[in-house]
Amino acid sequence: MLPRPTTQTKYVFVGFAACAALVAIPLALKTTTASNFLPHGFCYLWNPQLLTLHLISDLLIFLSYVAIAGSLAFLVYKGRDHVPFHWMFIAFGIFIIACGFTHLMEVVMIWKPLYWLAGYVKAITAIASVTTAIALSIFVPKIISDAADAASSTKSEERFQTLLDSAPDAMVIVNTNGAIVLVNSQTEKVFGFSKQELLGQKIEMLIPDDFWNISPTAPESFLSDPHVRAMGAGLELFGLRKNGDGFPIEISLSPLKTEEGTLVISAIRDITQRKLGETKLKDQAELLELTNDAIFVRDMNNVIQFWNRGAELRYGWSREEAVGQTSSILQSQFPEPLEEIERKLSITGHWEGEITQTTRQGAKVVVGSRWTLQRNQNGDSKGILQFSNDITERKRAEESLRQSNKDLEKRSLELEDSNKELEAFSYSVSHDLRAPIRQIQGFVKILAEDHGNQLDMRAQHHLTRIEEGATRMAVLIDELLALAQVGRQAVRWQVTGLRALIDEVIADLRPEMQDRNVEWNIGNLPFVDCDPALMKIAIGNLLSNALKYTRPRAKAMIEIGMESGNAGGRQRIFVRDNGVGFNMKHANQLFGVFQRLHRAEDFEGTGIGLATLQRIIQKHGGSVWAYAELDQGATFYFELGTSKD
Amino acid sequence: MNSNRCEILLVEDSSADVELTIHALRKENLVNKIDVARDGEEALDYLFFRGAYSARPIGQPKLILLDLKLPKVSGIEVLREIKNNPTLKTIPIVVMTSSKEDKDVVESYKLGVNSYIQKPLDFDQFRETIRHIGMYWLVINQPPPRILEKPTP
Repeated sequence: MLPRPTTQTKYVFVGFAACAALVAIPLALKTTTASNFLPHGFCYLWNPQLLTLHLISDLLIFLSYVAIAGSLAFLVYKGRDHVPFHWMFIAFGIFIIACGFTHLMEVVMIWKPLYWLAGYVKAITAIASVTTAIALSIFVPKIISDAADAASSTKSEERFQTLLDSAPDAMVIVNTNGAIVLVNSQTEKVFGFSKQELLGQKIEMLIPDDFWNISPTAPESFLSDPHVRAMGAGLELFGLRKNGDGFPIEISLSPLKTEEGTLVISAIRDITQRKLGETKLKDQAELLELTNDAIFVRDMNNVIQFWNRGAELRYGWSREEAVGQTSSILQSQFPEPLEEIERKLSITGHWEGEITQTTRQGAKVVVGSRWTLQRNQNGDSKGILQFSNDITERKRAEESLRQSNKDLEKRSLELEDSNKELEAFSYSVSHDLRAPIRQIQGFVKILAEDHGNQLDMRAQHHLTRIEEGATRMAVLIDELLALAQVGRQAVRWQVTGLRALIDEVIADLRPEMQDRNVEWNIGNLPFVDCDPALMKIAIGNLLSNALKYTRPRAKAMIEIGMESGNAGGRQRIFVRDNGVGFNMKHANQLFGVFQRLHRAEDFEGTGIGLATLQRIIQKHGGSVWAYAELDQGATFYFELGTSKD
Repeated sequence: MNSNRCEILLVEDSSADVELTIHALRKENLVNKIDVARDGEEALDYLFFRGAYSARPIGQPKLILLDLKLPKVSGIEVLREIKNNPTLKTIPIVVMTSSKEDKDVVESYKLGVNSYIQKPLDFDQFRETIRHIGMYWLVINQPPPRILEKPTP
């Protein structure tokens, strides 16, 4: 387009000044050095006013013609790409300059009679005039039609501009030199430059230089061989805003053949927002990669669209292998018919359940799978997001738990059976073993009573021995039965006052205290959580023991009390006697069945009592132990658990 | 007192216990005639006049001493049959057993036993217990009316 008016005016003045100088210098020389003879004075009737009029007029015409020609030349030079018929302007310029010089010759000839020179100048002017006139007459019709064309092209240019302005992208049209010839208003918005600032400037102003250097699709090379290039097919580029900010753009180039030569239309799209979105999406996708859970997306044709690292690990197919395949590669076995799953999915948008799938290696995996239906803006199903975590191990654990439960059940049944057997056994013991003993005892008695007078002392002593054996056998059976009964009896927890229980036990023991001096010292005793029937047996055994082993003492002293509990807050009960005690090195045998620390001749007993005591205390979640010294008495301690233990 | 009339039916499989029981009862002169059944089936045959007992004289014992652990038909079963029979259910039954299993005690009473005695281990006590039983059920206790009809099973 044309240079700005200010620049143009400047050039006109410079032209005038130059021409004025050209004329003024010889004039000044003339007025100071030449004679007063004026060869052309005759023509001007020697009238100075007339002479001056011609002189000034010719001079001004000359100067104006030069200026006009200079302007035209400048115009043609500057606008050679846009100004049609510039050869015509050149012809006009030559013609005008020639005219100007004929006028200059008129001035010169006032002082110098250079008629030949003036004649040549006129001849040149005539040639230029004739040439111009002939050329004009030939080209006027074309000029007229071109002018009409130009008018219509201005209109279509306007339409084109409107079209450009309506484009969503910044449209920048450059010529093959890379100069901007047209931009749309979107360009102004995107880059921050006004149209005027851009026109005629190099495209690098908007898309920096280094891009053209590194880009294999650089417009420089493209410009020499332009062809259509679609948006996005190019590299990711950066645009430069007026304020210096760079921003990501996408650019598409297409050639436009015009009469003025080939132009390149570039559509430039600011993709800052999209890039941000893509970055966000990429970040989110990276997050999905962090999890070991298998995540994949399939479209409604079951074609896998997304496949995360977890899915790679779980199923064995890499992303590249999986994406594009159908999800049938997983050979999923569903817990319900697939149609039912799809029905639920379409209604609620969700489904979850356990699926058995097959990995690439052929291994079966069980996954807990959650499906989410992805819909597009119209609400149509678009894809399914499957989020699965491996529960194979859990299933295996569950299976093994089920198995061990089954085993446990079986064992518990076996235990029940063996308990029943034990019951039958103890029934059998209580019934069948007692009868023979009574039989022995009975007939020994009958023998002694009915036939005693026929037996000598020795035979009677043997009878006594038989009876003792039978009696001992009976006691053993009774106590073993009691122990067995304690073992299989469930604890019936009840809050029980120990003092009352002990008073009952002591009352029951009264026969054993006959003819003995026994002092009971009973301290404060708590209420405890226990099975009173079992506890009575346990305490009975303890107190009966204490009575038994204090028998050699003139005065038996038995102390029962409570010590402040241990760290667990349990109450500790003790029974202390001044009896014969025992050696602590045998303490480990104390609670064993049939284990005795004294001879039967000294202290009768079966060795079952303390075993029963321990069994009962253990059934209460407690413990029992003893301290003693030979001949210095013994102290038994016990603690009880509670029903909550 | 009709010496032919059976006073006690002793149902006991142990010959020793039969002997000891009879010895104890005789010693106190409490009873003249004791019939013995050695298992549950024999006891029922006796009471229902079946098999070997089909020709026995009419009439039922004043008391049945019943052991629980018996061959063929258990004491509990015998007890059930007797107590479920309208004719026989009035006969007093004393269970005498070595068992003191709770379930036997409970089951016996549920079936309507008149007394449940655990055979004492000690022979003296055993003898004493037998004496008490004979004294109570044959002397002190007012017995039900005599049963002169044959029971229908």
